[in-house]
Order: sequence, then C-alpha cells, then structure tokens
Amino acid sequence: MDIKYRMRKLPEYKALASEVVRVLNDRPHLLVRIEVSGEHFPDRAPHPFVMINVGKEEYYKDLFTEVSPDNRKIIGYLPINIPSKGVIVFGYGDEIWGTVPGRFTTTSVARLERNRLPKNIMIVDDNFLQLKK
Amino acid sequence: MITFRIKGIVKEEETGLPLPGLFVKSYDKDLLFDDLLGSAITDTEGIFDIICESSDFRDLFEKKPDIYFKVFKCDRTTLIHDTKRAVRWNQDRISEHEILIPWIEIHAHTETEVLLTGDNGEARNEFSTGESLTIQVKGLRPGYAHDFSLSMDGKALFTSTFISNRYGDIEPTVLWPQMGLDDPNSKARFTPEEATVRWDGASYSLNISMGRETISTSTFKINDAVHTPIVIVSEKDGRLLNGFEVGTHPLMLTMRNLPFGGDIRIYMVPRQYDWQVGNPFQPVLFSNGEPAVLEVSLREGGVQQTIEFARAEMLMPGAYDFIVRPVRYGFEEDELLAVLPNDVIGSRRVTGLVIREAFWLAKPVLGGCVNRIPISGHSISGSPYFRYADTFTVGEDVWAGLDPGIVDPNNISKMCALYVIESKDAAAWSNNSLTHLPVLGGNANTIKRKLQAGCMNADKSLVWPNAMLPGEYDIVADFGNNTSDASLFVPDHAYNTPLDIIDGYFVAGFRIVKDPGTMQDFNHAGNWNYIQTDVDAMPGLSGTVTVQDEAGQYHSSTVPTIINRQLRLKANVFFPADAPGITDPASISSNQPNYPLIVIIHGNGHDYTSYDFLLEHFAKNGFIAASIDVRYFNGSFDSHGMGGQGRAEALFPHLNVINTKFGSNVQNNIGIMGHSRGGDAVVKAARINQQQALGHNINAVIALAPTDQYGTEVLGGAWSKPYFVLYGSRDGDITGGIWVSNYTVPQTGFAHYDRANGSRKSMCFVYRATHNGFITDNHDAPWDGDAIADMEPVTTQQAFTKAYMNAFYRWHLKNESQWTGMFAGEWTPGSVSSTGAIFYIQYHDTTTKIVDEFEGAVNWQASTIGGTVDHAGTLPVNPGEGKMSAAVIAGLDQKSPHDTQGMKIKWNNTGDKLVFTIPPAHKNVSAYSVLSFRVTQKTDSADNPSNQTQNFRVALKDGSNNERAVRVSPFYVIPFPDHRPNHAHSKSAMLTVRIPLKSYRIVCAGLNKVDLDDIASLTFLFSEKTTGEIEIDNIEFSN
Repeated sequence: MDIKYRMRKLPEYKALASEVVRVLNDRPHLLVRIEVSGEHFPDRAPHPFVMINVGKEEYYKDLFTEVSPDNRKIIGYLPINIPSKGVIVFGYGDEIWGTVPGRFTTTSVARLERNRLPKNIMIVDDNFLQLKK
Repeated sequence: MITFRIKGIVKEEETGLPLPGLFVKSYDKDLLFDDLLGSAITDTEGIFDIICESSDFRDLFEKKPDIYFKVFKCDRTTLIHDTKRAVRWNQDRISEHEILIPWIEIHAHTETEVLLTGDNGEARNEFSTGESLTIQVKGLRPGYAHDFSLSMDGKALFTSTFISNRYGDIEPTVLWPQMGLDDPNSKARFTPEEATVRWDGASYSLNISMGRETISTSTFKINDAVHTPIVIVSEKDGRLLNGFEVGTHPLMLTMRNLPFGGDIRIYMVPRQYDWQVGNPFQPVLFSNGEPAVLEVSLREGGVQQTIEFARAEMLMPGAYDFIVRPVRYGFEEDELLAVLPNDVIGSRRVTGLVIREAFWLAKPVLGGCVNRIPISGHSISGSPYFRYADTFTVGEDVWAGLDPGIVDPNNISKMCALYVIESKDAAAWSNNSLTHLPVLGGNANTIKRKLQAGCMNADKSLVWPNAMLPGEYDIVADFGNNTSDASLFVPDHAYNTPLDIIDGYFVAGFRIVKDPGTMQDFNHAGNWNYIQTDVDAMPGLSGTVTVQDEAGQYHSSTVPTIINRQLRLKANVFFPADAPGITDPASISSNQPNYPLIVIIHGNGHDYTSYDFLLEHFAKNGFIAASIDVRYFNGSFDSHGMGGQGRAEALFPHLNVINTKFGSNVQNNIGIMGHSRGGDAVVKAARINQQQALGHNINAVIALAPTDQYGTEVLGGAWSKPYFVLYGSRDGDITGGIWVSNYTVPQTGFAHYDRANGSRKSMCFVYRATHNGFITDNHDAPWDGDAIADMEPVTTQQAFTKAYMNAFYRWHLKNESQWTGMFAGEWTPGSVSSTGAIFYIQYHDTTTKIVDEFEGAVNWQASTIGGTVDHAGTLPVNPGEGKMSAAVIAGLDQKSPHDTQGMKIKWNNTGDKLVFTIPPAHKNVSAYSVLSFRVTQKTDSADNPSNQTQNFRVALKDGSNNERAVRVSPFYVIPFPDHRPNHAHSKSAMLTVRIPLKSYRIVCAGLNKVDLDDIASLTFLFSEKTTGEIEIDNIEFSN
C-alpha cells in the first residue's frame, strides 16, 4: 500500500490589530493592541516584544508586551499612531522569533469610536510619550 | 499502643569500622523466656533500626524492655556474637546501642575467596605474557593492610600491599601490570615474543598475609597457548615503552595475538581505568588538530607486528589508551564511537601510554624540585571508572590513581609506597619525613604497588576506606630506595625531591569534609504552605497586597513606567523538624531556639512550588526556607509577567507573614535567592531594604541565572552583601544578548558579578548547564540552538544548586567559615565532583592589595598602584587595556560577557613576558595568602589552539633578586571557551586563579625563598605554550 505523506504543519503566524482601552495605574489609556498567534509562546526571562519593521533595521517599538496565560498569543501594546505600513516582528530580548507574513497597514487596525470613550482617557501617542519623558 | 525504637550500630571492636550486612535480633531479657523484640539488617554504615511495641515485652512487672542482641551473618543462622552478658536494663522509648564485635569472632565465620583474572576479566590460573594480573579478594579483615607476595619458582618477584575495604574485600585491582613485558627484578624490558620465552612454563605463587598470618596461597602459570591479544606502545624493535617525554619518540604500537588481521582502525583515546563493551570514547587530537586515528592493514595469524602510529611532533602530553578495531568495508557499525565486542583494548586496566612534559620545565615552581600531580580520587562504577577528586565526604572511600605527567628521569623504581599524611604548612615541610596516618596503620602499612615499567603508572587502588577523620591531607608516592629490583624495594618514609611525587604540598591534596550537597543536621523537614486566605486570617495582615512594578521593558525608555500590581501572598515554607509529617510552624524543632531564614524569588514563567526539593534541603540544614509566588493578580487569576521591581517588593510582605507565624523561632538573619528575573530582584530587594530602612538583616544574596535588564542594579555600596552567582554556559533564556537600550555589555550574571562590590563575591559558571536545569528541566536549551540531550542532566545541575547554595548560606548566615574554599575555587564537594561536570569559579575577597585592576584612564604601561608595566619588547603587540566587552562600544573582545575594564595579552614566543613593578610603598605582601587574578582565553583567537587549555607562569621577585616562577596549571585550568551552537553567545568567561603565596616560600630544593616583605616585581611568563591570547583583570594579593 502506498503511504500518503503529509507535511507537518509549520507555524503560521497571524496578527490582529485593534485599539483597546487598558487601565494603567487607575487611569484608562488608549492603545493599539497587536495580537500575534500561531505557536506556543513561552514565558521567558527576557521581556517579549512586538514591533513594526518599517525599514532596514528600523523598528517602531512597543510600549509593553505580554504573553497570554495559555501561551498561545503574544500581545504587544503600541501608541495609536503606529506607522501606516510595515512588517510585524516579535520575539524576546534581542532575538526576533518570527515575522508575520504579509505587509501590515493601519487600515487593518480596528479603531474605537472616540466619542464613546471615557472623558479622562489618556491617548497614548508619540506626543503623549514625548510629554512623559 | 506505645512503640519503642531501638537504634544501633555494629562495629568491629579493634578498628571501629562499621559492619554492614549483618542480621541483628533484639531481645527483652526475662526471668523465664526472653521475648524477641524485632530484627534488622545493618546498612552500609553498620546501622540498624528496630521498632517494637510495648505488647512485645510488657507483663505484670515490666514497663520498659531490658535489651540484649544476637548478631548473625547475613545467612541469618550463623551466630557470630551476642550481648546477653551485657543487658541494658529499663530502656526508654528511644534507645541507642553500639555493638562492638571482636575481629576474631567475625573471622571465625569468614572464608577468604581469591580470584585472579586477566585482561578479559575471567577468573583463570593460566595467563599470557603482557596481560595484567588482577586480584579480587573477599573475606579479609575490613580496613587492614594485606601483603600480596608474588614469587616465580620460589624466587621472590615483589610484594604489594593493599588495604581491604569496609566489607573486607579488595575490589579488582591490578597486581602485576603487563606481566612479563618488563622484569620486576631488573631494568630489562622485552618484546612480547621475548617475554614469552622469558616467563613461560614457570610456576607462580601468590601468598596473601596480614602481619605474620598467612591467609591464602594461590598458584598460576604463564602459558603462551592462552593467546591473549596484546597491544602495547613500544620501541621500534617492539620492546615495551609505556612513557616518554613529549617530542622525544615516535609512537610505535606493537601487537600480538590479535584475533583478526586485514584492515584495522586504531583509536588513541584518553586513558580510562577500565573499559567495558559499550563505553563511549572520542579520539584525542594530534598537535595539528586532526583526530588521532590510524587505519592500517595487518598480517593475519596473530604474529607480532610493530607499526608507527604517529611521529613525535604530532603527540601532545597526556595519558592515553588504544582501541584496535577490525573494520569491514561499508559496515556502519564499525564507525560507532563506543567499544564493540570485537575491539581489542591494549591496556584495559593499566595505562596505554603517558606522554610526559619535559621534566624540569613542567615543575610547578620553575627550577625547583617538587613534583605535584593529582592522585586522590573516586572509584566510580561507570566510565571512566576513576575520577580525580580533592574532596571526600566523611565516611567515603579515598582512592588513588597514578598517572604522573612528570617523572624524574633518574627514577628507575619498580615500586612505590603511597602515604596518606596530614597536610603540612610551609614551615613544617622543612622536615620531609612522612607519617602515614595512624588510623591506617602507620608507616608499616602504606599501600605498595608494582608500577608499570617506564611510566610509573598504577591502576586505581583504595588508600583510605571509610575515611572518618575530617581534615586536610596529602598523598605522597614514595619511590624509596629507587631500585629496579622490585623484590628489594624499601620505602624510606620521606618525601625526597626530585624523585618522589606528591598530591598536595602547596595546597592540600584532598579534604575529608561534610558534603553540603547531602549533609543534614535535622532528619526531618516540616512543611507549612500558605495562600492569601491563610494570611487574611492572621491578625493585622492582608493576603492581597499592592506592589509597584516596571511596566514593559527598558528598551522603550531608559526610565520605565511604574504601575501598581496586585499580589496574592502564597508561599511554600519548610523548617527543621524532629519527626515526619509536621505541618505546624509551632512544632519546629526545639534543638535550637531560632533559625536563619532563606527566601526564594522565582523567575518569569516559573512555579514557586518547583523549589521544594531545595527548601527541604535547606530545612534539614537548619534554615527556615520559603519560596514565594511572585505572579501578579490580574483580577481573575495569577499571571506571569511581573518585572524586577515587583518581584523585589513582593519579598517584604512575605517576611511579615513568616515573622508573624514563626515568631521568636525565626532570626532576623536572612538569605535571599532569586532565579532569572528573581536574580535581578534580589539585588533590588537589598537596595530597597536599605534605602527604605525596612530593618531586615539581609546577609547573603544568591542569583541563579539572573537577568540584568532592570536598570543595571549594583549590589554594592550601602547595600553591599556577600554575593554568589550560579550560571550555565548553555542558558537558553539568558543567552548573552543585549536588548535594553542603555546597556553596553551582555545582560547576564557576569555583569552583575562584575559590578558587585564591597563584600565577598563568588560566581560559578557551569559548562553545559541551562537556565532552568538547576531547578527543573533543560527545556530552554533549544531556544538558543542546543540539544537537550547534550546538556548536563538535571540531577547534576541540582547537585550544584544544593551544595553551593547550602554552603553559601551556612557560611554567611551561620558563620561557618569552612565553606570558604568552595567559593574560592579551592575545592569541590564530592556530590558535585562525582558528576564530572566542568565548571569554573570567580572569587573576590574584601582584603586585597591591588596591583592592577585596569579601571580608570586607559594606560597599559601604568598599574593601579603606580607601578610600571613593560614587556621589554617581547610581545608581538602591546597589551590592550580597556572595556572588556566590545559588543556595543569599543572594547577588547566581542565575546566578553564582562562589565569591567581589563587587559588583553597576546604572545607568540616562550620567551615573552609582561612585568608589573611593585612600588616600594606596596612591597610588603606578607599579610596575604594568595596571588590572585582573573583570566580567560580569548574566544576565537587563532593564537589559542583549539580545545586546549592555556598555561603560563607567574613570577615574584624580591628586592634581593630571589625569584620563583609558579606554573598556573598545577592549581587551575584555563579552559578553552565552551563553544555554543549559536556561537554569537559563546563567552570569554574569566575564572579566578589564586596561587598560594606559600609556593614562593616553601622548601623547594634548588631555589631560594622569595621575601614576601620585599616584593619588587610580578611577571607573567608565557613560557609554557608557544602562542596564546588571554584577557586578565584584578591582579592582586589577597586572602
């Protein structure tokens, strides 16, 4: 009998981007959440990251990144004015573990309706970060 | 029902040696009929333990038992001793007994069994010349020296002396190596064919005696018809040549009686003390880096044939064996690097070849007469069957193996005596007499061995069974009257240079100590685990607290955003206990009024319950020990991801809980250990405790595979603490990368160690250890390209964790200074050395006189103490000084993990040197005990030969021009850096070399002493290897 060989399923990374409100130190903050899935992401000693590669060796960096409790997602939080296009990369410490296939554009970010957000919300963008420094 | 416990130990009366394997029955003495209370078999330490109930003996008049014993052989029927005339009356619920049995009573029931075996391990009474005659004896008096006298047709050949082990056995030990290939009674050496003519047909007799008592006599013959395969290193004419100095001879192999001809392959491999089918091996490398393997075609028929295996210039110093394999065209199995059934090993239990270094150049002190080599070791059941060791646990057996890499050219002795002596200081060595330990029978009972001709090697042999006396010892190989007639050998009870060889002298040869990896002061550990609801129930405490933490990573900003995190207080706590099953801290052992406290902070993704094995070990060593949960509560569950500060702040509410629960039983004397992110956190915790005046006495800090990613914390200044870092060379998580923007050196424990200051610090770097293997598993190894199977087993890594952490806390929380040497790299506990793992220690003491630490303005020609530095034009390039890591900013080495400045030195001639002058204001170093510096081979340097250790000398010269140059290699190995599959993360990792200043003062024939009150210069002499490139730091005199 002929055996029908099949290919092992290789990691197929996917990214979902959306605006979310996240409470930090008792204040609501508006951020972009980029959620990468596709394999098991361990909890490691170096911090995880999700970034947008916008040019050769040029990255738009996250504010912070978490690994989901079931280790199936790595979730980066970025300012809302993320670059209009680029490639999503992720990893730990100084090591890029993977790249999400295809080009990321801001049109894929599910935006929140501003008029429905709380009045005391902190809009986290480059201006906000500049003021924080 | 009331239970009674009868504990005891059975020993031989005369020697005090424990008697294992005996059947002990305990009785209650009665007026009419005695009651049997119970029975037990004595364990390896001679100990028995019998539990009985009061109903077993109780009657109208009796409430406590009146105990006596009967002791039987292991057959349970042969009575050898009873204590009926020494009844112990009215014994309490727990009673302890010592039963001493005179040797005569044991011996009356013991038969001596003698086995003679040859190279194939089978008991025989006929052997071929060239085989090594091995003895195995059972039924001797335990722990006593026995003489083995061998004669041929009534003529004495030689008498060896071996000591029986605690069971009365002599384990397989070579009595006559390479029978007949040399004449025990003259200088003659033979070819295998000549030996056959010389020795065949005679009758040989082996007489075993103890004192004047003959115990056994055996006979055997040498018969060429036995046809045992022989493979020896020889002269070109086929005569035995077991050893020679490097570069002086080609390597010739002579073979006879091989059961095969045609195509064969010969592997030159590191020497082992036995070989069994299945043992893995790796061929050694020739000087050109090629594997030492030769394929040749042999004539059939087993005739004697001699071939050249390698030219003289191809050979490197070392001890080797040879594996000869018939190879068949295309057979995959023949490529296996493991011993196959058809392989012939020319030297199964003896040494195939020793290539020695040049005698005078290889001396520990150049031009002096002391020969120092390792001798003491452990006999182990698997490959390589013997391993050198410098530390033994109380009650262990001490073995000796002799593979001398330096031998006096005038040494013609066929025998040597092995003395075990107490270590002596420099002054005491002005008298060179030897006193074999009285517990081993004194000088009349030294071990005496027939040596292999020409190389002075000897198989492993027991020298001290059941070593019970803690202390520091040396082993001396005394060649006595240096006679080529073994039958006339007489030891002279003196250490004579240059003839005799010593394991010790400058530093102790070995130690008998308790092993911090296995010792315990308490038989039991209590266990109290708490969660937040338990804490809520404690008055004044809350089970959920808020801590501040860094949100995200430093790479987005040099100043992190601080956020509040909720923490639910959970911990596992272990404590000393007097009985099993204790869970209430109030029932802590009353042996001490209070105990020091150890708290563990785990890393990201770790489970705080994984540390129970370590907590239990700490508890049995007299600590209250807790592992706290530092996951944060996200409103629904406890989540991973806490940063460094949150982990640090989590410590303090837990201290409140533990202090409340244990009250006066817990000392304000705290050790903290952090793993991974916890390793960063413990440094922060020490700082926060001091800066916020929290009042906790944190007295010892350990970092296990720490991160260095939360703001370059420094354990120093006002919060300086004794510090120990444990890190693996194959850490797959903290690999050596740099990912935080303001960091300029690899973010590992090396940087933490380098920055720590103000207290003693030590770091242990373990080759092939991982991030989590010290606690749980090696699953992080593949994250950086390593195969889990190539890593050290978790049991090995846990041996490091238990031994070094327990010793460190005992040192600093209990003021037990006897552990200092472990952290200075001077000795290794048996539970660690027995694993065979490779590791290197850095150590820094607080009392030092710095010569050069290379900090501040870069100027290689000026030292820190204001002296000059000069190579007198000898080095090919000037030394480089500056930041060691060149990973981000300009520095000395892309692969350096260090956060410090240092010096890079390259040489290409054995006459090269680098001289540091010592200014007059600093000339007196007599208050210090060692000359210390850190050093590493530079990774990827073409000047460091692949996979070889590096070596050089360090000379001190006084104001009267007395100078001694001490070799590094007798004290420390400067290893070739561990090469990772992801080579970007291989490291030029420094270790600390500490040369005892005693070496410059001790009696060393041919050399004057150096005046330590008047040191004028310190010189690195690159005389031992033709090329090299190293990095050094922290040159100083120290303690």
